[in-house]
Amino acid sequence: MASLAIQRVKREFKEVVTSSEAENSQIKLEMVAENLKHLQGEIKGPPDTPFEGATFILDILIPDSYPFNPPKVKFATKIWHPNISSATGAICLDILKDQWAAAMTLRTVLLSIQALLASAEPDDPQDAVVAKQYKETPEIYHMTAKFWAEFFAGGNPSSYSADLRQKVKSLCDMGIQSLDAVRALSHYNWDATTAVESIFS
Amino acid sequence: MGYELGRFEEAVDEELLCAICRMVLESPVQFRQCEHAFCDLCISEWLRHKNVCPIDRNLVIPTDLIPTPRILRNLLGKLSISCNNRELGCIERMPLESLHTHLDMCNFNPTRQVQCEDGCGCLIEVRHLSKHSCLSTLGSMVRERDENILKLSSQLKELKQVVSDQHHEILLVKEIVRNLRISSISAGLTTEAETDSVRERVKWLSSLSRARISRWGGMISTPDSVLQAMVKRALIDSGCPVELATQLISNSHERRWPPGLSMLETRQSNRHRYEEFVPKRIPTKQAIVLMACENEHMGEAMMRDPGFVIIFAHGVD
Ligand SMILES: [Zn+2]
Ligand SMILES: [Zn+2]
Ligand SMILES: [Zn+2]
Ligand SMILES: [Zn+2]
Repeated sequence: MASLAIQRVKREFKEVVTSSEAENSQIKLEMVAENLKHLQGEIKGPPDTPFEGATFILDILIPDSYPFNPPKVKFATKIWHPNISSATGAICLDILKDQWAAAMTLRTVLLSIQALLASAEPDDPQDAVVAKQYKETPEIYHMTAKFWAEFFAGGNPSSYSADLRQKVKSLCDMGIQSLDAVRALSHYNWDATTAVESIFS
Repeated sequence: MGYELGRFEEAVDEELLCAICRMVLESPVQFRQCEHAFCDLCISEWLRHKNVCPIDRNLVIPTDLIPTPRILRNLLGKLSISCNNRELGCIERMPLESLHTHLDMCNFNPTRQVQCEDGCGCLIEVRHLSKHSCLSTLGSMVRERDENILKLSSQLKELKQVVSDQHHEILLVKEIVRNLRISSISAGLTTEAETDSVRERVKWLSSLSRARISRWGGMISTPDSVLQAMVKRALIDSGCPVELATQLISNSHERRWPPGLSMLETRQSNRHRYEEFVPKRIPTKQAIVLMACENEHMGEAMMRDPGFVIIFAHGVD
């Protein structure tokens, strides 16, 4: 790893750990196996969003050419959001691509991703299914995003979460894995029949 | 890439940090438009990736980079920094502006060069001093030079060959031109036989080596026929065509020398021009041949066609 990348990551690691956001446990950064190339970030779901109360783990890879190229970041925690792939966790965020600038840091990256959770950009989607739901049936999107946050990321339970859990359980009883069940139900706006058909077809 | 923050005693103002390496600015430059400053190396590397300012993302080009203001450089220069060789034991601190002066003489600088005092006198990096042996250093120096000499002498040999080849060709061309001139005057065309004789003449001429005359005063202006016959023999032995040898020997007496040499008085007044001649040594004899084709620059007063011979009592090397 280039020495500049090492120097920078060391300093940014410190910067995140001592930041006021870390103090309020909004963001967190940890090393994976004492290796400055591979880090694990953590962000809290912002208030007044479906993600409130949930904690999302981010997988961060530092390229040798850092900070001349951006870090490679994706969600390790499952999330339902138009700009994040519900399958792979890939993030569609300009600063992680062509809008990267060398003065940005891991702290600003974590905060930008947190801000993305509060303001989705459905016209520049990473996950077309989620984006379509976001635009056409915003209430179902809200409900689904909140359920995913609760189911996968320790978010606060909602009034309808018991109902949705029941639907997931009914699919699981048919021998379907719970992750596949949640995905299929979310994809088909919680219509259990269509979801089951899609899995067995 | 900047200087590590840990090397500074006091907290460094954010303004003096490079936004790319996040360290204290080293050889800083800034953008004309936004005045954002970066280390020279850091920003050049960034501009290889993107043509925007790394802080505000405004479009820039490398020529927008200008030196930072003196005040910024002064502020940086005054910062107290520890030596690069701190981990090797140097405890010195100095203002950043005199860091380089210090490094050149820092006793802990592993790449500092010192002169060997054990005999060879070579400049050696301190880190290599413990393994240094004068004998092997000198030995490898000698080997290096030997290789160099070998290389140079083979180059010299090649060049000498090139020069001699070219000289030969020039002579050939000159003789052919002269012959053409003569034969066109006599209204005849150059025959193949004539060209062959030119070739033979040039071959002979270029086999002769240049003569060095140490004493022009040793020339015999009125040689007798015995002496002339001996020199003619030597000419023919050296490969000179018989017909040419006869012509040249007939031109070996002052009577048949060019006007500038034909009398004691004219010789005295032309003495200063002797060194301009291209004289060829007639092997085994204290005698030289001056061929017109090699001495056209001397002019008619000092040259006779096709050439002439000067026999010496001594003084030809
Ligand atoms: Zn700028
Ligand atoms: Zn820098
Ligand atoms: Zn020192
Ligand atoms: Zn020595």
